Order: sequence, then structure tokens, then C-alpha cells
Amino acid sequence: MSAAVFLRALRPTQIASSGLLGNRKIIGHAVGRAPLLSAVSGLRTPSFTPPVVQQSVKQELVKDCKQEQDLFTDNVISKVNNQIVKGSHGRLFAVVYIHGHQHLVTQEDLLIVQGVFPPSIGDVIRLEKVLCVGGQDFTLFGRPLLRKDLVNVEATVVEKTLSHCRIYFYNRRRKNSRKTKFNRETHTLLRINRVEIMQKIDEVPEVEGVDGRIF
Amino acid sequence: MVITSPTLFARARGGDRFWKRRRILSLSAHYFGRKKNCYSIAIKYVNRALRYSTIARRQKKLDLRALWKARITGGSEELGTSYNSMKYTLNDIGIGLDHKILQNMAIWEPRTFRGLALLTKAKETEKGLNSLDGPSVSGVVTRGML
Repeated sequence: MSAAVFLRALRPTQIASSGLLGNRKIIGHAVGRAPLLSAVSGLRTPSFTPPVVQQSVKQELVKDCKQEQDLFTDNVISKVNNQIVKGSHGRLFAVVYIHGHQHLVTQEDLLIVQGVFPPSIGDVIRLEKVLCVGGQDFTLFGRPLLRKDLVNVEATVVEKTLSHCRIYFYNRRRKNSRKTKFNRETHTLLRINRVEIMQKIDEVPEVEGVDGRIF
Repeated sequence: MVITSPTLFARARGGDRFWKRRRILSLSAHYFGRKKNCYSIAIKYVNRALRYSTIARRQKKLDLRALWKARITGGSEELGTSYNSMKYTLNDIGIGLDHKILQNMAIWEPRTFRGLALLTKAKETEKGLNSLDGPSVSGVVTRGML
């Protein structure tokens, strides 16, 4: 945007006070308007100029941390892998995505799935959408999901019931207007049987991204 | 004698009063005073209670979400980040944990939550934020993968 166009976009008082005109006088303000003090203040030039300071260029010494970081990474990964292989991580929790909701589960937990859920009582299900797995000393986060081969979360369908009766009551007082509805949702109870890590964390499959999963 | 045709203009009315009142009084059984036993008084309070519970069912979700947000803010502020930073960064990285899980972790899985906070700070430093706080977060190696 050129300077002329920019100046035209400002109001006269703005142009004057902004000092964009430098030493030129203001001619041609709107008729009937008295010139404000601010209209002339922008015409003054400063009596001093700030001194030009020569800034010394500071050079930082940037360390090449790649080797250090690689060592650190390998150390951490090997510690995690040791725990996985020996099974010394203890009780694991997993964040599982099921039927539109996320749940933080461990072994022996009960889970309620609300709505239409096809598996029948006694079925053993594998919960495949795992966002996160962790124990006392480490946590693994998926972006957004972890590989199916890595984590195994199994659950059994324990019960299929209806929820408590939810009463939907709408009343407009003194208007003889009243409506009552009743609703009970189907509840499926799942018992989490196990949460396990099956593989070492740096074991990568030959072909990635083709787990046959649907996001 | 067998009556084969129905009686004209007869209506089947009434007889419902007892059970209608029983429906209401069963809901007011735990109230105090005449509200629990007298129908014309109880009906007002029972209607109010049912109306409130209907409205509250929707409100509960909003209230819980606000509570979770407060808990995540509290946990992240303790660790030197903020709620907004965590939300933006986790979304950026691709970690899809929701409010319910994050507030759960902030209380019951503190080490995991601390890991997420450090991750947030490291990612922000990579982006160029947090430069006034000093050098990058120690103990976090991203290898450019974030």
C-alpha cells in the first residue's frame, strides 16, 4: 500500500499527530473546523536525535547435543523394554476409546457402555482403540492411537440391563401444560480382564499404517 | 337376558384418583411435613423436583466439564504450563486425550500428567515460545519428531 493511499485512509488530526508529513504544513482541513493543538504538534521535529549505538554481535556457542540425546534416548528405551520383557512394570492402566467415550481402565475394572452394543453376555472382547498405556515408571502415548500389536486389552461382557428410569417432565405452571416422558437406556457391563504390553516399544513392523483399523 | 348392544353415551370415568395420588406421593415420601402426605401440596413440590431434574441432566454435563477444566488448569499451573498451552500442544502433537481423562490423570496419575506438561513445554520451546524462561526443558528429547 503506497504512502499516499495510507495517508488518505487516516483522519486529518491523525495524519498531523502521527508525524508522517514531516515538515510540511497542513493545508485544507474541513471548513468550519478549528485547528486543534494536536494538529500542530506533529509538525515539530525533535531537538535531539538518538545516538546510533554500534551493537556488538554476541556469538553463542551452540553445543551439538545429538550424541548425548541419542544416548539418553537409548537408555530410556532399554529401561522400558527391560520392564516389558521381565513383566516388572506391575499393574498397567490403559485409556480405551469405546462407543464414543474414553475410559481409563486397569484390570478388574467395570465399564458401562450405554446404548446399542451387539456383543452378548459371556463374550470376550478385545478393545483395540487404545490411546495410552502406562504403569508406575513409564507411559506410552499414541498419536492418536497405539499400534494394535503393542497393547492387548481384553474384556468380558458381564451383564446386559436397563438403566434407571429417567423422567422427563415439562410443566408450564398455571397454563395447563404438562408433558411426561420416560426413558431407560440399555447398559452393557464389561469387566476388564487384562491390560498387557505385547512387544518392545522400538519393534517396528515392516509395513506401517495398514492395521485394518477404521478410525 | 343378554345385552348385545353397548349403552348409549356412557363413559368409563374415575376410579383413578387413588393410583394417580399414589404415583405422586411415592415420589414425595422423603419430604418434610405435609408436603409428603397431602396430595394437593405434594403435587407442587414433586412437579418442581421433576422439572429441576430434567433441566439438571443437561446442566450436569456442562458443570462437570467446567470442573474438569478447573482441575486440569490447577494441575498444569502447578507444573509451569497452562490449560490453554496443554490443550493446543496436545492437539498439535496428535494426543487425543479428552478432558475427563486429563483431569483423572492430574489427580490419580501424577507422573503421567507431569510427563504431558513437560512435553507441552518442550514443544512450545521448539515453536519459539517460552524463550524468556531460559534454556529448554531438561530430560525431554524430541528428536524433531513432534
